[in-house]
Amino acid sequence: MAQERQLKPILSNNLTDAVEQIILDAQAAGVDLDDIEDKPKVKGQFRDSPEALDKLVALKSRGSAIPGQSLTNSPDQPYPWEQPAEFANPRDAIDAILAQILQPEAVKQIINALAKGASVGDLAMAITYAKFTEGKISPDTMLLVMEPIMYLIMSIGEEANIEYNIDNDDIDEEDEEETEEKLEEFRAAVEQIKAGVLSKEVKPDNLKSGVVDKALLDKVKQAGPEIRQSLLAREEDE
Amino acid sequence: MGFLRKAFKKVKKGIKKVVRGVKKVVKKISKSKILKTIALVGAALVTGGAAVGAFGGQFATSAVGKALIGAKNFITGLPVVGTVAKPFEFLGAAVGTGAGKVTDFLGVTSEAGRLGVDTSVDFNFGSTSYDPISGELVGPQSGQINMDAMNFGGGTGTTYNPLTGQLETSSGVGLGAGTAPVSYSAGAKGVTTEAQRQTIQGSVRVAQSNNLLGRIGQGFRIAQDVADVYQQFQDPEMIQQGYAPGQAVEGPSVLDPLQVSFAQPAVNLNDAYNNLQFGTGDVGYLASDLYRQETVGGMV
Repeated sequence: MAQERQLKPILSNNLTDAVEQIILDAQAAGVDLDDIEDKPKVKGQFRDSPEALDKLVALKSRGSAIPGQSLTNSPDQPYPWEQPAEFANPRDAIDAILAQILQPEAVKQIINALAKGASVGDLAMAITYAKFTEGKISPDTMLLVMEPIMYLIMSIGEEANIEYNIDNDDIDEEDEEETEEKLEEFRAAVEQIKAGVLSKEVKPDNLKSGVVDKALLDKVKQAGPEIRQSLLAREEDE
Repeated sequence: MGFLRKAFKKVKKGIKKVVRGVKKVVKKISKSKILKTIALVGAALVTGGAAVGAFGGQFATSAVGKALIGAKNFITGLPVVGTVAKPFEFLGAAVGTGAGKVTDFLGVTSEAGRLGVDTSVDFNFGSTSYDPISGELVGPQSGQINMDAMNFGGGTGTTYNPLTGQLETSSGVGLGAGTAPVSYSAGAKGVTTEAQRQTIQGSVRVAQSNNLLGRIGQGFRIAQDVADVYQQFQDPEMIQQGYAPGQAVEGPSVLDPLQVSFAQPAVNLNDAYNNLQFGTGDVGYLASDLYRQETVGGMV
């Protein structure tokens, strides 16, 4: 690694932004990112599972709470999430959750889920929501820790060489903005070509020798302007 | 749950934006590599040094590494996956993977360290020395190599003792797991050359980087370094005493600018501030357990 200078310290209140700054700074500092090993990946794809479907049906058929049911609970026995959260500081919450995620058994489960097509977002939601229902974190903290946990799950997926979904089933999803950018480039190129062609008056005499067969060129000269009329041009009224 | 879905979309959009941004700067790199870099840098920032074991040094022997290896059979056993690729194959040579490279430039690991020899890390010798905190002579700490009793040699035979400068018959004292004992020819008797000294140091470094104590010792080592510097600048004979108004005389402890504690003070770096911030400049970055408590101690 031919590094020209030390990386500058980066600080941002947005993890994605910090990551972007660090990578760009690393690139500017001479870190060759192309050295990073990247092997062919296993595609995380949804696979039909009758057992899973049965579980889902069983879960759904259990019914749900009647509206207002929670108000009938005794105030002396509140649910965990109805009490002050255990972690008021999101940093502590992240530490606690990461410690659990990095347990071997948990890693194995995460890999299993990613390989079966579960998305990073869904896994992060399942983890954070579970922590919320346990009374560990508040809904606000849940949102704050979502991004870091998604990154951690992504890194586990990367280390496991799995091509994972980030949100829903988006592995093969085309990037709309990128497609739009490419379309814009294409349109601009077409416009340039149009403008260039129109600005030049194409006449048989202007053509370079050898580009068009001489016999064909002579025919064009003989036929005169009528041959240059488009086949799709509107016919003149008789 | 709609608001959570929005959070995913935001992250996803952000990641795609970073991929595009990096792609614009680095034309030849593949998108897959950019995504991998993004994920690993993000995870390293989030976990600080805590995930070094998982994402860099000693990957194969870490708990997460073992889990990944254990999951290999599971993944390859899946009907579709089995024939497609061989994930985790790189674990055979875990060092030098993408994660290692990323943690290298983030300063969490070093390439040499991942390859087994960390020449940037000084070894952790311990010998009887003056403790500026207690004001007493103290012996080597737990986890340090006891230089007072160290005999560089292995097996039985005549070996050179750099401390005494004498050839001695030793019955073998290991420097650490997986380290070949160092022995010298009789030609070196009585003189410790610079080359010999460096060889010994290099061997100890190998031992230190290879054994658990050595790695754990790094945290203590930082504290030791601070204490060493402190000691260097604090001649016990020259400790200044301040005179408060009146007749009270302040003791030296009050004037100590810094105290280093090996105990576990109740300091939580997360209490520094409650706002979530990320990056290599953040207080929480590299704040793994290894570094968190043992090296930072407030005035007692």
